Amino acid sequence: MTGAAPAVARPPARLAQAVVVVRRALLSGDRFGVASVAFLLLLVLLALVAPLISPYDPVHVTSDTLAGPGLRHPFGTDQFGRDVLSRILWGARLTLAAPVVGIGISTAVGVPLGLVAGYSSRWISGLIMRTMDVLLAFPGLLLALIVVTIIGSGLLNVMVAIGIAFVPVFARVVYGSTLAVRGRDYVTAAQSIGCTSRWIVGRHILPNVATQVVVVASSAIGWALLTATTLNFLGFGVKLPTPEWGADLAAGKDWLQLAWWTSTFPGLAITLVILASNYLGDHIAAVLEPHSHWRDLVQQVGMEGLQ
Amino acid sequence: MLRLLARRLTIALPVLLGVTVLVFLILHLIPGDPAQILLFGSNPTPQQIARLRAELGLDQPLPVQYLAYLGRLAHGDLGQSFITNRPVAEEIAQRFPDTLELTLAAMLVAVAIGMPAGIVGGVRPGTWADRLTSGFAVLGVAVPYFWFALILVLVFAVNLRLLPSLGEGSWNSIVLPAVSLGWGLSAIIARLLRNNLVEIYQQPYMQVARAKGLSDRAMLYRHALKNALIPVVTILGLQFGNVLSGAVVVEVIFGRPGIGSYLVQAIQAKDIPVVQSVVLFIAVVYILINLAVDLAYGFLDPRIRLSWVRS
Repeated sequence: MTGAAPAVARPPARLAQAVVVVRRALLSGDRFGVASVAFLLLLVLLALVAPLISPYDPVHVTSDTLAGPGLRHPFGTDQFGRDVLSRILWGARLTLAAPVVGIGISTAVGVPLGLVAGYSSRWISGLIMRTMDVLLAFPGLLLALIVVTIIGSGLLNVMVAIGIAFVPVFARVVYGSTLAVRGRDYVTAAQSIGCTSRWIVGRHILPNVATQVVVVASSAIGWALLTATTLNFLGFGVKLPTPEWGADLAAGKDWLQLAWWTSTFPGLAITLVILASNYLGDHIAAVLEPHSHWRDLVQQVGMEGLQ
Repeated sequence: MLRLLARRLTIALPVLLGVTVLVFLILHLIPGDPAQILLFGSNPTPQQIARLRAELGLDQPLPVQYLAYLGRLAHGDLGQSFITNRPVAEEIAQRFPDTLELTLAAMLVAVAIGMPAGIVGGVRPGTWADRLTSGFAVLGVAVPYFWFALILVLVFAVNLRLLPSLGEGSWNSIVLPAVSLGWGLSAIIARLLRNNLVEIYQQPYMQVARAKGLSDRAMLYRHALKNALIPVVTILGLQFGNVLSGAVVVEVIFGRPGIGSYLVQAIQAKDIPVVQSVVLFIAVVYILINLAVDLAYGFLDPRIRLSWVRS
């Protein structure tokens, strides 16, 4: 690449590079990592074809209430006689979409903030990063609750809440890497031949922080899913009867004594997805960034454990 | 030590101030007229709105309002609930002991389960006990605590009838909430301690200890554990805020009257002064705990203390 022409990406080459990285990440021999990918892909597929394979209508009320798991209803029915298996299949759509969209928002906001903070004057970078410090002073769930208070409940707002709760993590990781990269010789060289800041950040710095962003994003998915289902469990997300695992779990909690299956299957589904996402995240991190210290920050926001 | 305290405070104070700004802004970030938001649900007359606006200075410019807000905070005035009309500070003072009890009990559970599990795995890596511990650690972080709480209720309250599932009163009503809240953290502690111990047992000073014939017990307690515990203390501090915010959910599930269930009710009822003050309170506690942990492990570990003085 020569000169400071407007950034024209070369999609095929970039894509090939990305595919190679992902393939290396996924198929480097860890069977748990591979099993996690397979499980998550299968689940996404099931969610997509839910209208075709779901045995019953997930919101159709019947008189067959609180029927135990059996041949007709493998996971039983809930207090309105709705088939639990069908609700889990349909619920996978919103349950899985929430963390993905949420982390997408954090990436879209946090990465530019980190880049700008890392490559601009002390004043602007101070302003951005001190704001991020303040956001990090709130436990993740609390920050998400604040956002829900401000913009109101609803699934879309839950996604935004998760997105905002994770912005400071992305900003801080990208800021740190940008600082490390901006002192390199090739950046100095680019500056000395008169490249614009935008060009340098886009062409020389961003590609170097990209793997870290992938690592943080993939490790954040499990946390985001847990927070999304928590908010739905508390009633700040979907409106019933929309199927969503966290909300269904909350509804099932009132029927615990009579029907364990209405809460157990959504809970099990959430657990399996978090398990698989955590494995996948660890795996991608181990392959792409074996020596990074992103974990410290991740733990600070509480992605692990209570999350 | 005083210099360290001053250093940490210069970092913590601006963050604290920033937290008050953000909490102050909650009211103004909500779309709509703040006075009407505050009187939500009570069908206010224009006179009521005007009076409230004058009372809270909502007609003043934002910076002036913020300073007034800071002034009220400095006097311990956290405002009052627009639903019950009770002062929020009183309500928090009454409810916080309950939440603190739950949080501390959960941390205790986490340490009581996590430490032995981590030691078992870390001292004999690769054995079945280690594998069992690792499996536990992986599951512990994946099972959502609100579901785990329901499983505990189902098993111990509904089926075995050993423990009460709801509310307060008897001494054992804290067991299920504390276990469901502390379980995830115990898994983190177990994994961290195990990995630290495995690493430490490969250090030269441990080989020397073995060579001079120290017993396994002495090696563990005198040399390995002390070093392995430092990061665990850090994690306990860092996770305190998460346990505290997790208490929000656990309190709702078990019907405990702490500040967590108070917060959730306030969000549902759009009782903004309550939301602001509870959020502020939790954030301040979180910051202070982290400050205390910072200072504590600087105190415990001379190496960290030295690195601070040098930097």
